Amino acid sequence: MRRDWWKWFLGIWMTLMILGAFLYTPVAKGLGETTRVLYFHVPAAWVATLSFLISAVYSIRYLQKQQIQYDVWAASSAQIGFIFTILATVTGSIWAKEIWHSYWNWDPRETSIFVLLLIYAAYFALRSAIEDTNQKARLAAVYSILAFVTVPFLVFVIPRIYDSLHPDPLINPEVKIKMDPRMLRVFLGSLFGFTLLFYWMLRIKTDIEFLKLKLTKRM
Amino acid sequence: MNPRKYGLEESVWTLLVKSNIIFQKDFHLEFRTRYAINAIILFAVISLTAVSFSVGPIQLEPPIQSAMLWVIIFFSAMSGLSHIFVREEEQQTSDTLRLVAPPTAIFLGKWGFNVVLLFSLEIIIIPLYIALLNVEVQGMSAFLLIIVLGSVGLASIGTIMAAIVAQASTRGALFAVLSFPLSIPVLRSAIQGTWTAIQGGGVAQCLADIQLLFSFTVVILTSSILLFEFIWRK
Amino acid sequence: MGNSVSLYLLSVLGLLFQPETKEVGQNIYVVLAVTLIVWLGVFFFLLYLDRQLKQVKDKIDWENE
Repeated sequence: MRRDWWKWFLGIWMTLMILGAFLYTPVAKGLGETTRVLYFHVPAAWVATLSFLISAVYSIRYLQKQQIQYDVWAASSAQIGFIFTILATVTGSIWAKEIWHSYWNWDPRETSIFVLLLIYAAYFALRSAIEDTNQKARLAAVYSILAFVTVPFLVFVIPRIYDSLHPDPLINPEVKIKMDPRMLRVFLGSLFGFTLLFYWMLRIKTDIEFLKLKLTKRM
Repeated sequence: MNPRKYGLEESVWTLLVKSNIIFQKDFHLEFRTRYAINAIILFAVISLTAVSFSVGPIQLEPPIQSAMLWVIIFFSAMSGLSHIFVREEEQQTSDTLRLVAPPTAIFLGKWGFNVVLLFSLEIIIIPLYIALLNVEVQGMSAFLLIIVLGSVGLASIGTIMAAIVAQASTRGALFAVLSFPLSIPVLRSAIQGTWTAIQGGGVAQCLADIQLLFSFTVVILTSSILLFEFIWRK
Repeated sequence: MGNSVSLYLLSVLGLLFQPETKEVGQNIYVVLAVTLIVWLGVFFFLLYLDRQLKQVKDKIDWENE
């Protein structure tokens, strides 16, 4: 029980962040009440990107070491990332309807999250098409790395096609934080909470997969 | 071991010779059966006819013209490029191939074949395209340069994805599904560049697109060569 | 993946029951919908993980008997 203290901490922390998002922070000019989407939508998108990165890192480790646990980590991370990508896409789309009056208009951010969805979908399609465990792990790792290599080019290419209307909370050319300090506090707190939540989910997922592996080995 | 005999230049040279042998082998095999080349060219001609037929007498704008051209090239590539590795698995020749040649040589040879396949497709399809859709290309040199670079990029992605797909059970659909996300940078900058070239832009105007196509192809090729060993090894 | 299906249904529900307002950016329900979707998504994923874990546990029990 003592080892699990951080899970309780996370519960309290996230409750505080939700309360803070609705009660503590001011709203930004031009966005009105929908500013509060920031504290949930952006962390979801952040976790989606982070899990993609972790999946690629574990894929590289797998190819180096050829040990199945790295593949379990990579696949689990990708699966959780896929859920968060869907969440970020849907919530972003609802927000876009309110602000831009259309659910989907191929804004650069919408395009890049869509490509991320495609990559994840392709990754899972590939995994389900191969029977042998080691071969599945190897090919999936190679695909994950190649997809990861492509991402910087997408980041460079996509904004050149369309102008973005997406608000820039942190990522902007001047690398300045244009946020009210109260907003920033809750935003960073929420980002931290989501990352911890991701770590927790990843641990549960990988534990389940390891147990399954052990079972199949015993049979 | 004589270090000079196994020096870098020597090994690169032997690698190229071996790649060339693989290329020759595939080339002769292909031209005996003509499976891939028939499939890919017929597919391209049919999609080109479909586009031209559905557009009818309407004159398309340059952005749509360049987008249509790349859509045709992309889907034709998806229909034929996977054959190069799938054939080795279907005819059960891959194990012999593993014994006789190093992985990098195999990859380079197959890559070369796919590039040639895509080029021969374009030699047929592009004049037809220009004639049927009444395209007036004003910047011909930039146009051709972008077509060449874009096809090399598509062929690189197609080759490494073909190697992956050949080991999986559902090959046909999976090939396009895997290749599309990685092809987006190539397609996007090729469409942009072709559009500029059709409207009379020279190489200087398309420079950003050309740089991107070139660097992306180089990056994909290098990482493919590094990773191919893991796909190929059993 | 039943999980993705439930997520999808959830998002469709979220899109359908979105109240219309005239003023841009004053719709607190949008924020509510976004928050709910994120939390329900996380919740359903945890449920899915829980079910998987239970299955594995049952299997282990069955093996030990």
